[in-house]
Amino acid sequence: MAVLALWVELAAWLAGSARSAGGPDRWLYAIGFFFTLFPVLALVVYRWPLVFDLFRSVRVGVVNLIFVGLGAIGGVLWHQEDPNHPLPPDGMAVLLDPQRRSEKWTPATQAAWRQFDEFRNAHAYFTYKLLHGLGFHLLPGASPECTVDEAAIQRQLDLLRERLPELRDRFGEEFAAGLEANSARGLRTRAQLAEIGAFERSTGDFWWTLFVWSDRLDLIRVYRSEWYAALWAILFFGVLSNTFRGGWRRLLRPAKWGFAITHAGVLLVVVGAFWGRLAEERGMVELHVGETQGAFQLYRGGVAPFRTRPPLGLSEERPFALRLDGFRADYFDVLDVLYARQDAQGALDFEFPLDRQPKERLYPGQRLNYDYGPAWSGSGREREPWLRLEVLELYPKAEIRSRLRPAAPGEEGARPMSQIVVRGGGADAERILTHVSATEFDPLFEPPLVHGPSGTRVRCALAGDADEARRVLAQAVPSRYGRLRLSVPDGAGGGATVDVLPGERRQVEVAGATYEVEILSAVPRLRLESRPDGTMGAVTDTRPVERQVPDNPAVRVRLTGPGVAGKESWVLEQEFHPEARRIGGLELEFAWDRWSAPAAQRWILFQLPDGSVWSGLVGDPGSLQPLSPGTGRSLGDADLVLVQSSSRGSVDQVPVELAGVDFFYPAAPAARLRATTPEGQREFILNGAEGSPPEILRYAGPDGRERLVFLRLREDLDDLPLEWRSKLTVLEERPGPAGEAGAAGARRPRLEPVSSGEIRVNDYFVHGGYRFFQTNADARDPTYSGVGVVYDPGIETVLLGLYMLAGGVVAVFIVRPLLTRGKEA
Amino acid sequence: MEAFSYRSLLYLTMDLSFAAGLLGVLTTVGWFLTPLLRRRAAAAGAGDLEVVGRPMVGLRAGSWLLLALVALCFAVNLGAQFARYAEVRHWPAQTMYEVIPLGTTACFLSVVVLYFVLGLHRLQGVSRGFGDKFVAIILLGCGATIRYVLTLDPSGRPLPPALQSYWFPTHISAYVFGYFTLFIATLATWLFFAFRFWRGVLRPAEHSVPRKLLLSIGLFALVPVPFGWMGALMGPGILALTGAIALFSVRFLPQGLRWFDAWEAGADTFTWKIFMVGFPFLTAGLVQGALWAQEAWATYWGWDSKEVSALISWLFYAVYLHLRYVAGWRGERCMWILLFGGLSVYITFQLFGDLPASQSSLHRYTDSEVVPAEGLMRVSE
Repeated sequence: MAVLALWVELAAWLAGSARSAGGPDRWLYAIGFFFTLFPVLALVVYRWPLVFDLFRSVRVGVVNLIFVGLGAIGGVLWHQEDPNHPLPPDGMAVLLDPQRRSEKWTPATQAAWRQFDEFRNAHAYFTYKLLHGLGFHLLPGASPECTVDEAAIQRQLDLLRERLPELRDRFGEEFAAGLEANSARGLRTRAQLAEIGAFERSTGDFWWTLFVWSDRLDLIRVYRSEWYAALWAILFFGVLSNTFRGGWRRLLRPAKWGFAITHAGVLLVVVGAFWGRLAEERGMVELHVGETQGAFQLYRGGVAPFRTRPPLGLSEERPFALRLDGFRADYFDVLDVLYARQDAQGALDFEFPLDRQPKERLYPGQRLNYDYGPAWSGSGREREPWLRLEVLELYPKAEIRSRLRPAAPGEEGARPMSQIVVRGGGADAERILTHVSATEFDPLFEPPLVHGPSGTRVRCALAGDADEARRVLAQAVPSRYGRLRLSVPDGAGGGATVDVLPGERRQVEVAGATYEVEILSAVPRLRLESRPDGTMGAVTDTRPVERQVPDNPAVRVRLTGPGVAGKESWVLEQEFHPEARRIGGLELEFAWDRWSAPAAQRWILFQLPDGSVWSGLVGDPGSLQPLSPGTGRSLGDADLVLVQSSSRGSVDQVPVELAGVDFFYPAAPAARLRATTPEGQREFILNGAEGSPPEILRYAGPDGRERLVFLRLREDLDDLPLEWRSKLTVLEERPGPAGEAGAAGARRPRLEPVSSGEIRVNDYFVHGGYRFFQTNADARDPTYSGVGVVYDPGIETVLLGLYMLAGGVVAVFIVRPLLTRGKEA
Repeated sequence: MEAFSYRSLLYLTMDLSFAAGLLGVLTTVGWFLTPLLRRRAAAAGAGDLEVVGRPMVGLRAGSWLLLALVALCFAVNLGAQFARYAEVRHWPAQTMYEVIPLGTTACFLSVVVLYFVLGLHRLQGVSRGFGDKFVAIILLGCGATIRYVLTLDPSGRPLPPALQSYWFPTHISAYVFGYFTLFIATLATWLFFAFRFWRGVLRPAEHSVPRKLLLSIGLFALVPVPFGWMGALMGPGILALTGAIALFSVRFLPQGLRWFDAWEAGADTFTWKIFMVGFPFLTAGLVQGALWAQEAWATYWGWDSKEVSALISWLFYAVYLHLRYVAGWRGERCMWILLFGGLSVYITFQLFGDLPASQSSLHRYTDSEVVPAEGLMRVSE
């Protein structure tokens, strides 16, 4: 069996070399290949029964099964290279050449070294475990200092154990047990790693030699070697010849059904696997939201274009492209329970200096208990928690909405406010706005309500009487789209702010240097899309600027000055990366002016000292009219409604579950919790949005000391996500409209969507014979999605084989014994 | 600690398991003493029923109570799994703190099923005692295993995206049931070899055992020693225990080790029946793993080291199966394969994380050594 496997390895090597070599060597390999095949061909032609008997032999079958097992054991005992990132031969060539090794390393060399490092670590770790299991307590090359000092560990654990009763009382038995187990394991692992590291360093040459020979003998890629494939091929023929031994009619007997199904399943698995091995393409396509790709990166190297692969080539192959329409990683919602203490100076610190403070994954109805002490509620139990938290409601996707109410007497922060809504055009806009005096109004701090379909802007103001209101309405609105601030990144030397008006050119002085800023365009909704040539371009919204909701405002500028010669760039209002805001040494910040930017109509709601509300159109003082809560007035193609108003208003935050939004809609969680302590009960809302303030609880603990607890709801970005999901669309070329003619007069093809689907881990999307599945993501880049691509025509055959194998085993081991037992009885 | 929390129910299972194990030890001793009582009755000229009857009734009740306690252990352990489900909100099979008790649940269930499948309830006398000893060893092993589990990190971890699949509970449960049932087959096989060993050592004239076999058994007892305290218990520990029983039998029982004849004759069928229960579950676990991998990575078989380890175990049993069915192998030769199959299962289940190829495995979800966690280091330093 081993000889056969080695023979296949030799034949495959000769065939591969004949294909890749050039010149006379090629013929040498080809002749060698012919003579390697010759004996087998002769056997098959002249001694076919001998070949058949060989495969039919039970001994050969069992020995072969043992060899397959031994190959598998070899693969487990030897660190295997990642088949998706094979060891680069170029990198190995550099590492093997002492002269080239000192050159600057290419990525291939670095990858080869990384693989050697992983190989060395894995084997040193295994050696450590094996030798320690056999009673050797110091690896060669390791000094006694780096062995596990059990006494030192115990001393450290004793320190921990002193506080364990307190921690057990505060956070519960499981928390304390986990802390102790993890600390002991962590301390021991640290010592183990030190010893393994010393061992690796002292035996570095040995590992390198082993790695080089493992590479040469394919020991680091056992399962992809020809000799291992040969063993499976022999197994296939063995199973095939034995299954049909004695004629196929034998298999029709009910007693043989289980046997026949099981073995046919094994045969199908092997056939499907070989088919896949010959034809498969595996790789990945890296996409950003909105990006389209027509090819993917193969793991074995190179790029392969997407083209539909009809089964058995029954129809024509067509190229297609893949577009990422949406991506989102959803993380678990956790509650941080942070016990803090405050010193005499008022400084806060954690009460328990843990590496990781307790956190709980939340679900509705959950009860969390803390701070166990003597019973206080009369429950009859000996001990009970002094802080109980109950999750009353949990909204995985919530919006914290503001609710206006009259402020209580003496309540701080009360201000004149109105809740207004503009309805019409299929999209309502609702806001609670503060009435500010006309002279203090700044649209950047008090942005008005924007209603896109009607192009309406509404803001609130205070007025002493109706005449003053009319005077405000008569004032002209400055003409600008927004403001652009230019400064140096470190803040030295001051900055300059210019009004944004498309087509204008301004000279500004920043940090002693003069720059020229030209405003090329300003848009309220910027969308970028990849062009056929691979570059990104802005997609223009055909609606007038005033009818667009400014959800991604941007300005395109051309900057000229010291070190920057007429550089054009988009500056986004919502640009969070400082690097992306920089142009030629300057930092540019842009803010869209939601009041002064073009609008179809601007309305102001005035609150007068008597609490009455009046509304009027800017530029038309005669339009001023009183407006009662619950009533509205027509704006032409929309209605302005005053929901309520208060001269001393206060706003409550109410979580509202976002119903009807899909997975890709980015929204933070929210929860309503109830805290129970011996001092009473309290309900509160926690908002999971970034930057939301924590809820602070104070109560007296069982020891009489005051407890200070910070409760914070957040998405747990430190851990693995709950789910990743991508929305994909497949685009195929179709002839364009008759009007769009290319240079040769033919219709210019255009990409049109032909199918779409969502992928997530454990749920792939199939198109044209390809399987697309969620592979990776980048927490730093929320628009990136790594999509795995597999073309493997053998999968269906293998799956059928697996089902048959399982069914056959059930028939042999469960169904048949039950039936036989019945007959015996 | 809440009364019906996972941890408290695990404590209860452990206590019950130890109590049942001790009861098994007592009934074993009792059954082994019945021939002595009979001899004494014969010597005193008293009727067999008069002297042995009452203790026999008690022993029989004890053996049935032992089985009832195993069923109770199963019920409490299963209850613990459901309690954990409520605590972590997913099938509790992600960390070793969850997977191992799932295995002991399977083990208790296997014992109840096998008790009848193997006909242990029909045995009498010393043979029944041997059966009770077999059950007692399993129960004490389960108790010790749960005791070990209670020293592990009990924190519940969120289920990563790859594990959020309907295959997760069925794939792991099938494997765990298969593994633990095949562990029982391994234990039965090892007890067989251990008694063969002692018979060959203590009664070489009556039962000739080839020297090569004696040496092989002695060496095999040392194989699990590097695997820690559990290995030491399973290898030399079991050999020593059987040695003590064999010595007692030879020294005090009128028939010496003759009671083992029936066991020796039936050992092959006995272990085969256990294998017949465990192997379909092992196959189901393997096939489900491939189907799941196909859904998760569009790769039904990625040659991941855990997959390969499981395949190696399956191949051991496939070889065993084919040698029995096709080559007609029976008895000792076959049972050696079962022993090594059990060893392979143990490596796959418990020692996989130490193997070189496991360092890059996608199956290291349960291994807490991947990221060594240190809890209160700022306090302890």
